[in-house]
Amino acid sequence: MEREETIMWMHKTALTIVTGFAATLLTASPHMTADAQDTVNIGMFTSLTGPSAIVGKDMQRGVELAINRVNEGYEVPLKDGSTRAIGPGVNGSQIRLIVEDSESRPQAAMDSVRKLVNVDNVSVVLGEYSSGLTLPTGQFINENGVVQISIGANSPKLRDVGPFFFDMIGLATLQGSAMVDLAEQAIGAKTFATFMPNNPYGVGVELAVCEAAKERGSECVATVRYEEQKTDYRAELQQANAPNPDAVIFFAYGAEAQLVLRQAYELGLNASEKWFGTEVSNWVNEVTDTPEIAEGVRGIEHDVGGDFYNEQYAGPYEEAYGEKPLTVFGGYGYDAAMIAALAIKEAGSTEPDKIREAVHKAAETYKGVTGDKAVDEEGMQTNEDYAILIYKDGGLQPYTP
Amino acid sequence: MTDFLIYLATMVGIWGILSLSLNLQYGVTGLVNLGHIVFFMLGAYISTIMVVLAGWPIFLGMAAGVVAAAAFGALMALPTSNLQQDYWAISTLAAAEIVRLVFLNTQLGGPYSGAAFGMSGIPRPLRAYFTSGSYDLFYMVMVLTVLAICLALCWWVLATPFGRTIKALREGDHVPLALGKRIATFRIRSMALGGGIGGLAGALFAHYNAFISPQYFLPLETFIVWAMVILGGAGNFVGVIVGTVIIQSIYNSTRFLKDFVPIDQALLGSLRMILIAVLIILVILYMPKGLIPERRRRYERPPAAQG
Repeated sequence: MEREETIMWMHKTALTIVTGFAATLLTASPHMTADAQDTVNIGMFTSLTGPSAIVGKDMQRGVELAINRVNEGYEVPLKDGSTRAIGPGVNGSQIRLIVEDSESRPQAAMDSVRKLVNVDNVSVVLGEYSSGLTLPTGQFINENGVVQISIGANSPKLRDVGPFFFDMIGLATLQGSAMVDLAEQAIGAKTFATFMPNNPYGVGVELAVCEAAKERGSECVATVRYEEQKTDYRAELQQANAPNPDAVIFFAYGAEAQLVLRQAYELGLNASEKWFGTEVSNWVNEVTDTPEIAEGVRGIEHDVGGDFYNEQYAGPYEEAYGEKPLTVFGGYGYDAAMIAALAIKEAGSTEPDKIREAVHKAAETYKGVTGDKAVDEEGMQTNEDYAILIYKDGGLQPYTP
Repeated sequence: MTDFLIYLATMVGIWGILSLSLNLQYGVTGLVNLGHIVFFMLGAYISTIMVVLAGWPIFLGMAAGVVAAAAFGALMALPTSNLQQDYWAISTLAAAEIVRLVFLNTQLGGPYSGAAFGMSGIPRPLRAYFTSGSYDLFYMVMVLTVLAICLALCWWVLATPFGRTIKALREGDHVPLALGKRIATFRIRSMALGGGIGGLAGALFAHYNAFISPQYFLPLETFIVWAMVILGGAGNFVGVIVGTVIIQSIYNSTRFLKDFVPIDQALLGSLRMILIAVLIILVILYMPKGLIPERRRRYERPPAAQG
């Protein structure tokens, strides 16, 4: 008898939960439309849970910093040294930032983007970091004629998304030539091996490196695409090393890079001489306990820093959040949001075609905290500054080949 | 808002078809398939390859996806049909990962197509006949109709001798053996049928989402289907659809919570995971047969209560 009562109670609870959610969905509707009239909505989808959560959170902070400035009124620095006043708000209304969690999963990313476009009627969508999430959602956003500014994704395939799609970070193709140049200048490398994660970013860089090598009369002798989250990479490492390449171009995420570098060190692959990494700052904290495994490894990183960056972004960031910027990508989020706000102001309306045109113009004149933000006709960055670094004495230091 | 609800209903329909097919294999036949997403993946990929690369008409491509998934279901069961439950479960998980790794490492089309990049710009059926607003509505109606047909098909299968045999199989090998049935054949046929329906869900998904990549078919997705089946009630076809509705609602309605309650979005994401986990634990503890348990056939009335 007691058990039956429990079951009845459970039935009722389950029913309440379901009704509750249904009610939430239904009541959400009038709430949204009422809001849409007195604010300009900017949407952002970013990974707040899952493997990319730290980058995702940092990007959210960067975007918030920019939107808060615009809502309070701000003098935006331009490339020619002058400033442009914006705000409070744009076109007489405050900007409302709506952030959705993409969970680092493509299906959840699509859910969040659908909500932003269909329910919140946002004028611009900002995000994402992962190319695997940006490609499918970009296709949908573009089809619906909404402007999207991607923050950290850099797969070369993004170029084909469509006219409403923009990118705030240089595509992998630019990284490819930077890497080949570095290895050539540093050790005169003629044969290359790539050691990349088997995802759109990794494969994008691999293709770009081999293309750049071919253009310079060199060649790729091994292209290893490894599966992420494995506990052993010795087989893949030896595969990359087998044809005895002059240089190995590699990338790995945080803790995984620690494992890769440790195993390369144990196998005696001479990483300090031959290994060159892309986006090296993403594993710098993970190797602090065993600095010998990364000693002498050279590589590139997005060139984010300097006085302008500190004064415009890193300083105020620390004031607002009580810690230094978590990654380099928050700055790109800041620039994306600032350009979006400038474009909406320039367009004078939330009409997608006008905003799209205005983004091109705004990106041309705006002085980004992460460097020059000008885009080409397809909305991709024309140029990206990379810092050349070497891991030495427990940290990354500038390096001149 | 309406557009978003239409989208949700479409996704519920697609996932509903997928959970129906898992229910046919697990809930009815008792086959613990931990690689169920493989059928969804094959349906999606084969249909896309046929339509985008081979230039087949969309509906023919979808049919090819269904056939491929059904054939793979049978193929998967062929060498393993005599394995015991736990070994069987492991082999299904491995089979799904093998297929995913094949797609992850196969370039399809240009240099930036297939492999890790996935396939984009997948054409949508009958797109030219609708405006962009009404197309989603059309697709929802189509998906829900297919869901209804699949539900009817499942009910029909259960009423056939084949259906009764696979149900007996779930309770142990002895009964069907005693009746002179070949167990392996029934397992293979059940896997093929479930696989075909799962493939249909995948094909519908690919041509709706217009983009697929190996990232969509990670083992995690199989467990989401499992959550739907267990929550709703394994063995009951309506139950698993209710389970699908609940899981999808939790995933999406929690997005709206932050518009009413001042709550951090990152916290909300974690809360969503906790909510689903707690719900499943509660269901397993207090309602082990799910929210809508399977209705057992009664062969005789229970003895009248003694006064």
